[in-house]
Amino acid sequence: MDFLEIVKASFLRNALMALLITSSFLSYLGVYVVLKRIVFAGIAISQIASLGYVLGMLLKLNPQICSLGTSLIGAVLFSFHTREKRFSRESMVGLGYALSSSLGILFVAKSATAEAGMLNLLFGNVLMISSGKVCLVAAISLLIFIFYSLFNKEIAFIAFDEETARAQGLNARLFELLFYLLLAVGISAAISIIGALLSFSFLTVPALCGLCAAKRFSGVFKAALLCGIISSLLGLYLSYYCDLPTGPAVVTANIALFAVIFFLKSLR
Amino acid sequence: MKKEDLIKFKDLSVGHTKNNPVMSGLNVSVPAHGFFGIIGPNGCGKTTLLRTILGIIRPLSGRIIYYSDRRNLHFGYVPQKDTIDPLFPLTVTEIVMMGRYKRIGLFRKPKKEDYRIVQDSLSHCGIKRLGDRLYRELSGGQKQRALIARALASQPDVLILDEPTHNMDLPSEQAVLNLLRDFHQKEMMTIILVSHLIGAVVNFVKSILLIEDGRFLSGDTNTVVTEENLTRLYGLKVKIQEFQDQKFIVVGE
Repeated sequence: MDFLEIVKASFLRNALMALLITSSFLSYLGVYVVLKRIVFAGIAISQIASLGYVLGMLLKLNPQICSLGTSLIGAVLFSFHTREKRFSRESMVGLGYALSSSLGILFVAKSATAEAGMLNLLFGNVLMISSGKVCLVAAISLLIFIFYSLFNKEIAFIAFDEETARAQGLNARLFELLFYLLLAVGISAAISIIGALLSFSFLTVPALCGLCAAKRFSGVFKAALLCGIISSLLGLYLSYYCDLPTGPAVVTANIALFAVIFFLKSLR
Repeated sequence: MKKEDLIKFKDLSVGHTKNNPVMSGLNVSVPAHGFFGIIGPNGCGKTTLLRTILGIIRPLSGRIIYYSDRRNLHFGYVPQKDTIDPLFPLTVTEIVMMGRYKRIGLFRKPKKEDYRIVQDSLSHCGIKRLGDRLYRELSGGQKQRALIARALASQPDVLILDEPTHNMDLPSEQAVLNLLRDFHQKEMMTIILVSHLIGAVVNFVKSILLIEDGRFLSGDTNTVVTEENLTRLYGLKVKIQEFQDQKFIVVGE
């Protein structure tokens, strides 16, 4: 099957669109996630989003709305700076991860349908995505890019040197909260389509590619976006050509791309 | 409050919890256009005091009185360079431009005037040629100059520096302090400098606040920094020797 056939088939076209859109905004958000050293918070938010999804199934509520709700609560909690000196914010993130993982498993045990949903959330099923969901992630992606284009300089300043940004009078707490909320919205939308594994991969690996390939800050975002898009195309193509599951194929393409960039950069 | 004072601390207590203030009962004035040093050992609350002056944290009790409206008073803050994350691939120009962000405002991009001010700030600090270099690739002294340039780019009324000579070799330390002194003399800008090394800054600051174990001494540097005061404050025999109008502080017999 050549690439043109993938584009022509409607379910494959949806899958391609979903991959390109989610990889774009997650790669972009991922640059800040990696630079702010909050990769673990990214995993924890995706786990909390999964918990919400399972809870929704258990309570017979809309799982996606429940997933969004729990991930937003997690994001608000993680955005707070604690005055507690005995343990770090990272340890609180760890606590959130452990709690949401264990509760998720307990809820699955009590729900007949949740187990299949949990597996779906972990690995995703990008080939089954509807046009409506593609439009939804496109809208979320647009929201994220508008936010970043409006407040790019403030977000960069706060991420780089929060103390000085606050001394200058910038409302760092508000921007930090908005950053985490958008991260939660992005992750929550992405995992319901492409799964937690692929979402997390898009959140970290393209950013690493960008930091490895580009020398300048603005270049890192462009390179990360490009790497996310290339690995999506490559992974989807390989998935069909070699009859492989799409999510893991894209993750593998993602990491292979990073390995190539890292190797080429090491040669120079 | 005297007219020549810019900031006054009145019965000020600072810290993170009311039950455990790191500093309390502080009554000190920072003179306008002065070069003010806050000197004390690590952990005595100097940085907490700075954060309170900057409005990042609130006083636990007491007041900070500003001579002009606080909202019209612009602070240029230079944090400890070691607190800056080297992971970010930002150029010196990009970092110095951050000093302009508050004045540029939300939803706006830097204009020609902002770039001109950034270039002027780089020139003032003697690092114009480093504008395109990545911050993380600079030496300790160059990094400190870049952070000072960023603070200057904000066109501040008060420049506040937290341990600007920390972890620096002697030539870099003297170069940074000379830069600050020159800037203070030329621009008559109020400078507040925090350091844990009295010997390094005693010849630069005009007035001083000495902190030791919850006790304070403040006033004109020549009046405060005396052998008697330092011996009493630190509980050690301290001698001050002068050579070519420079004070050298020697501890011990």
